[in-house]
Amino acid sequence: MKNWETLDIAFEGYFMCRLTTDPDPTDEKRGVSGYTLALASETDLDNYILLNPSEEYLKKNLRKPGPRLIEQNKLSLGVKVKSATVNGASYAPAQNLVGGMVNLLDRDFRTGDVGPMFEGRNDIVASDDNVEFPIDPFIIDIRNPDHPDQHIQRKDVLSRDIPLWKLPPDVYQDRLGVPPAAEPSLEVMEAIGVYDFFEYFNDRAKDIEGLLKNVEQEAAETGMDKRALEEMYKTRLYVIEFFGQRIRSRLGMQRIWNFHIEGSKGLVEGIEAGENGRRLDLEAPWPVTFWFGGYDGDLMIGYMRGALQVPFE
Amino acid sequence: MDPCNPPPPQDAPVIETRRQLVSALQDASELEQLLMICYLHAAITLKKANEPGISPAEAEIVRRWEAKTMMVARQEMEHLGLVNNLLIGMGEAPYFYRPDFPLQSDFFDHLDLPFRLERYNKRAVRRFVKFEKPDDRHLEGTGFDLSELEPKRTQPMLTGEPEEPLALVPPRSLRQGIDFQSVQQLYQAIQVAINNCHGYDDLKNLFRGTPSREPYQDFQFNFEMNIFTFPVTSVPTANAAINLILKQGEGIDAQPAFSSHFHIFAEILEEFKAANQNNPDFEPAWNVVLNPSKENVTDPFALEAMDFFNDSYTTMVYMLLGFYAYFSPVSCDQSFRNVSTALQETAFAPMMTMILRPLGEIITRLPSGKGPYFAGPNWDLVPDKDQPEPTEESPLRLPPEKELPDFFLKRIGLMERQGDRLREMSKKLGQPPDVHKRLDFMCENISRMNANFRRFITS
Repeated sequence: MKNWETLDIAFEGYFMCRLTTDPDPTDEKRGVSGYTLALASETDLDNYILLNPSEEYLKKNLRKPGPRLIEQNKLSLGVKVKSATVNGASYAPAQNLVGGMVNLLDRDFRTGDVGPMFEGRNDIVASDDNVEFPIDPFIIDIRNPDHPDQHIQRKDVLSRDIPLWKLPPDVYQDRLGVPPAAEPSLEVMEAIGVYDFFEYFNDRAKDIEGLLKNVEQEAAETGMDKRALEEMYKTRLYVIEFFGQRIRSRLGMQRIWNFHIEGSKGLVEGIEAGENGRRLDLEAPWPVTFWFGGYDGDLMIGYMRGALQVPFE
Repeated sequence: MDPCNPPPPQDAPVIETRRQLVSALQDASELEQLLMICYLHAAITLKKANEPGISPAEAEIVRRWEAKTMMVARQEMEHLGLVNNLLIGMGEAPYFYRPDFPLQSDFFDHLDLPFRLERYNKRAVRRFVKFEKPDDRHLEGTGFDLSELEPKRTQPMLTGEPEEPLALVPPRSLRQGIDFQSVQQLYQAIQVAINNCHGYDDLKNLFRGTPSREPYQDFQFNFEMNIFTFPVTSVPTANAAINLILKQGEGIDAQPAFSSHFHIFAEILEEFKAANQNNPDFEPAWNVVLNPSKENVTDPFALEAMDFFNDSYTTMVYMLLGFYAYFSPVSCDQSFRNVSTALQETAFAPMMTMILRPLGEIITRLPSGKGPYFAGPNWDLVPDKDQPEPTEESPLRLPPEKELPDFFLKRIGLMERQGDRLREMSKKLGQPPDVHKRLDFMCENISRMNANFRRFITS
C-alpha cells in the first residue's frame, strides 16, 4: 500500500513586488497613473515576485514605513520556513530548513533580485485588479544559508519554449489562483495585524506628513536633495489620497493558489534519507498551496503564506 | 436640483427640436474627444525621472501633473460614454467622429481657444483651464485670477515654431442656428431640452431606445478608477449624467475643495509658476513640435510610427463604435454577445494602455527630423478604405453586423503587420535599445490581443 505521508514545509512572511498597476502600461518603468510608483531615488518598477529581496535592493526601494510600523516590528521582510513536519509532528531530518528562505526563481534559476513576474499586461494575459496572475515559471527553492547542506528545489514550467503571453489561457488556469472573495480575508488581516484599513493608511499619511516636516534633517543625514525628498513624500501622499479605496482594498485581498508541481524531477539535498531510511519522492507531484495578499501599494509589499508537501516514496 | 427652476437665463441658447438636441449631443461627443486628446497628447510629452533636463524633485512634480491630467482625460472618456448612452437611450446611433487637429472651433471663438496638439507648457495649461472654466458666477470665492488666462488673440509661440492657419470647423449646432459659448452652456442647454423646460412638442417622449442594449447594463468600469458610467434611459438618468459631467468638469454644484478639472488645471498652473521660480529653465516636457504632421515631421521612422499610431487609434475608435452600437449584455444569449464581449475586452485597457499610450510615448521621444523638435502623434482618424463612404451623419461607418468579426480581425492584423514593420525598421536604423524593447513588447501584446479576440468571438 502506498504511503501517502508527506513532509510538510510551511512558510510565510512579507514579500516585495514593485508592480506596475493599471492604467499604467505594464512596461511603465516609473509609474504614473497606477497606484504604484518608483520614486525618484528608487530603481525602475520590475514586477518581480521577490520573496527575499537583497539588502541592497531594500536599501534602494523599501520606503520608510513610518515610526508606528517600525516600533511594532511589523515589517520583517522575507518569506521563511516556519515548520517542517510530518503528520503535524516536527520532522527532525528537515529541521535545519526552519528559518530558511523560500524563493521563487526565474527561468534561468537565478537567485538575487529577479524571479518570476506578476504578468498581467492589463487584461491581455491577466489583471492586477484582483491579483489574477499566472505564475510561470514556478520554481520553488528552499534553503537555509546557515545550513547549506540542506536544499529543496522543484520546477514546474508551463512550456519550455513558449512564453506565457503565447500560451492559451486554458493552459495556465490552475496557475491563476482562486479569485478573491468580495470581502476582506480574515486570515490576511490576522497575518498582517491590520483590521482597520482606513486607519492604516490614515496613519501612514500622518507618518509621511511627519517625515515631510523633517526633510531638512533627513537631507543632512543622507546627503539627499531636500527638495527631492519633499516632493517624493508629496507623491506618496498624493497616491494614498487619490487612490483611497483602491489602495485600501488591496490590503485585505487574498488570492489562493493550489496546484501540483510536476513535470520535472525534484531536487532534495541533505534530507534524502530521513527517519527509518524513508526517502522523499522526487518524481511524484508535489502539492503546493499558498496565498498572496495584504498588499500595501505604498510600500509595494505584501504577505505570503503557504505549504509545500513533499511525499515520501 | 430642478433644471427648469429657476428658469434658464434669457440669453442662454435654446434647443427647440429633437434634431437640434441630437446635433448638440454629437457636438458634445466631438468636444469630449477633442478635449481628451488635447490632454492626453500633452501628458505623454511630459518627462519622467532619469530623462534629460529634469531634476529628481521636478520629476516628482511633473509625474503628479501627468497622473492628474490622465485622470481628467479618463473622465472625459466617461463623459463621452455618457453622451453616447444618452444618444442610444433616445434611440439614436452612437457618435464617435471628430474633426482632425488642429482646428479653431467656433464653439470657443469668443475666447479664442484653438484645439491644438501642444506639448505640456504653461500656455497649454492655461488653455486647459479655460476649456474647463465655469461661468463667472461659479468662480466667485474660488480665488482664481482670470487675468492669468491666455489673452484673447494667440500670443507668439513659446518655442518659435510657426503654426499653420487653423481650420475653422463650425459645430453642427451652429449650423442649426445655436451658438454655445462654453462647455457648461452646451450641457446646460442639453439638460434644459431633455427636461423640456420650454414645453416644445418635439422634445416630448425623447427616450425611445432599447435599455437592455445600452452599455453598462451589466458591465461597469472599476469605480476605483474614478470612472462612473451608467445607462441613460430616462430624464432622471440623463440629469444624473449631465450633473456628473458638469460637476467633474467645471465643478458646478460641487463642494469647494472638490477636484474638478478646472480646479486641477488651475492648481497645476500655480505649481508651474512655482517650479519656474525655483528654476527659470524648468522645462517639464520633451520639445515636441506643435501640431505634429507630415509637414513638420520628416524623420522616416517617426513618420512610420505616426502612421502606426493613427491606424491603431482608428481601430480603437471603431471598436468603441462597435461596442456602443451593438452592445449585448452577458445575460443576453444572442450570438452577437461574443463580439460585444470581444470589443469590451479589447477596446479599453489593452488598446488604450498597452498600445496607444506606449506608442505615443515612444513617438514623443523621437527626433522629428526638422529643427530641434521631437515628433508626436497627430491623432488622425483614418477611415477604413474598405468601409462604406463616410456620410455627414455617420463619418465612421461599420460594416454590416455579420461582417464585424472579420472586420476587427482585419484591423488587428493590420496593426500586427505595422508593428512588425516598425520593429524591423527600429533595428535597421539603430534606434535606442529601449525603443526596440518597448516595440517588441507591444508586438507581443498585439499578437496576443488578436488571439484573445478570436477566442472571444468563437467561444
